[in-house]
Amino acid sequence: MARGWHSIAVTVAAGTVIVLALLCIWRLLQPLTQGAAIAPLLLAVPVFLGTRSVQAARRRAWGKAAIRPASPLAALLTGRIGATVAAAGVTVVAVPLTAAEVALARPAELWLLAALVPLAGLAQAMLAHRLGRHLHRPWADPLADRLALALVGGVFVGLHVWLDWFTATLPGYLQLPFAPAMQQAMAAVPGPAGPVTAALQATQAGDAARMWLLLHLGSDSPFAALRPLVVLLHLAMSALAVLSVVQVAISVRQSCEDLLVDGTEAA
Amino acid sequence: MTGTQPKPARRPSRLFAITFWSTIAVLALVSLGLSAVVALRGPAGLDDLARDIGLKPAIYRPAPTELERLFQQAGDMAATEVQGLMAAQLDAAFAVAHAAVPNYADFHYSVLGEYTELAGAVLGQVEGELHRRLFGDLDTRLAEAAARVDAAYAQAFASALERKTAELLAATPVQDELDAAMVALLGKAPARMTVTAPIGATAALLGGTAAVKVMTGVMAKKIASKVAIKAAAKGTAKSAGLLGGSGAGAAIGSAVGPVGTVAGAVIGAGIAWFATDAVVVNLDEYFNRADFEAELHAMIDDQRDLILRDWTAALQARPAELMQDVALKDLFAPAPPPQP
Repeated sequence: MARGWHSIAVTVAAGTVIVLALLCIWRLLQPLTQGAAIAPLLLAVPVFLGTRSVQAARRRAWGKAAIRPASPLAALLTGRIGATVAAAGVTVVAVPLTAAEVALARPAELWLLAALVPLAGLAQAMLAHRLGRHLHRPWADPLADRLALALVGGVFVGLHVWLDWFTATLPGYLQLPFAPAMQQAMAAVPGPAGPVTAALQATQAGDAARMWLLLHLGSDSPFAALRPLVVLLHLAMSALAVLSVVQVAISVRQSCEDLLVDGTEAA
Repeated sequence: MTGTQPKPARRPSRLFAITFWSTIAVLALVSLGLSAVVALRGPAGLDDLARDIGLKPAIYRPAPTELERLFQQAGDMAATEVQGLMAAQLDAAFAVAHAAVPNYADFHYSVLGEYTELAGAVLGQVEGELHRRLFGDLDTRLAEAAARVDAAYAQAFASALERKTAELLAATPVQDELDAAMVALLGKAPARMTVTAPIGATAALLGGTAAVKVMTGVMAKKIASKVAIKAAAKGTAKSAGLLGGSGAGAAIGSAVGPVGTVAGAVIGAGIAWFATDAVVVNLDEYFNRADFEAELHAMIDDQRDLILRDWTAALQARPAELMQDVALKDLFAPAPPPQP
């Protein structure tokens, strides 16, 4: 038992340090150099590997259960391609969203995200451990991922919305007409000219566009009826950003487990 | 295969373990080091660090103030442009008050007016009579003047912003992608969209009832103090007149007995009281009316100048006001009740 709990502690700690250190480096160096993008690129590697290992194990287990060993399909349908595609999809969505959220977040939001990372890893590890008593690992791990995403994500989405409500301010330039307001929003993104800064500017412009609509769809606006939709869109984007960070934390911890912990199930 | 235990820690190869944990240690040290630089020296500390390793030419600090400066310049131009209109509008609004000064002076230099003002001074209600006789519908006229100035400012601001935007675009070479984005946004935006300033987002100029209330309050205080001084100065003359009138009335009334003596004394005192008032008021008017009217004109001009200064300051502050941050939760706060 002690060794098992030890492995959970070690993998959660390692995953937390990897995620927080790379995101910290990204946040601090992004205003200075496009090269800061190396940090999220490095982060994408364990995210991809961690997600792929869980997906591949599940698909492999389904294959073993469904396909007869003598069938030639057994060699073809190993689940590796599906797992790779799924992991690539998760990585392509979660890592850029996490990087954008971290680069553009206010300090209060950063503290929230910093608290989220170890808790998400810990929740996933604990759930996988508990579910492992009832399910085989290929099913226990993905279920633990989804449950941790829902539980930790749900709590932190609520906290993020609460923090947003009480501390967020809309920059005054959003009072301007749409085009100059978007120009101001884009110019507020620090960083040398280049694709990374341009991508962040696009994200910032998207955020600013939602805020602009919130500001200008007041009760005296002819389109005031659309305001609830904009609020929902704002909440959905907040949730997506938080869930991305949770997914990154979970996948990186999983990756650490794959690297540091024996893959066989304990008897 | 119960799976009740977490997976036991794999015994990784020594080389792998050293590499893995060394990488994590390096990451932690780098992030802590950078955080320490920022914590101790602020973001500028990272700038210095970047310069030391040759990154300085690539550093871009956002300069979102370009458009803010543009707005401030356009706002200043517009405020200057409507200065003449503001003065003319205020002159027109206050012309009726200047024309009513002789009427108010007539009231002021009458026994009834004097007692009305005196009672008002005691009760602190000089404003009512002053407002009715001197200002009349000034609140409406000021509100209309403010609306005209607001409209003219919005138009002047839009024109000035259009000119300044065109100048900026002409003077800014496309150096990098940020400049290109700015040129694209400002250049492609429909002219009306770009230059229609949301003046409605800022507070309207203070005009109407609120401004007149402040003004009459200030003037009423000055007039009340003058009335009080005048009443005190009349005290001695009135005492002597009262004694004389009372004595004469008592002498006349004594012809019909003791009751007549008392009634005669009271009537005589009353006649003497108001006669003295009438004499003093007429003398006061003869010697001081011109000064009083000049003083009223000066007070009205002071108030007009004060409003002109307030309006000018309000217009000059508008571009900055336009750029102030808004708390998210304030967007969903119920609208405040309309100001009277």
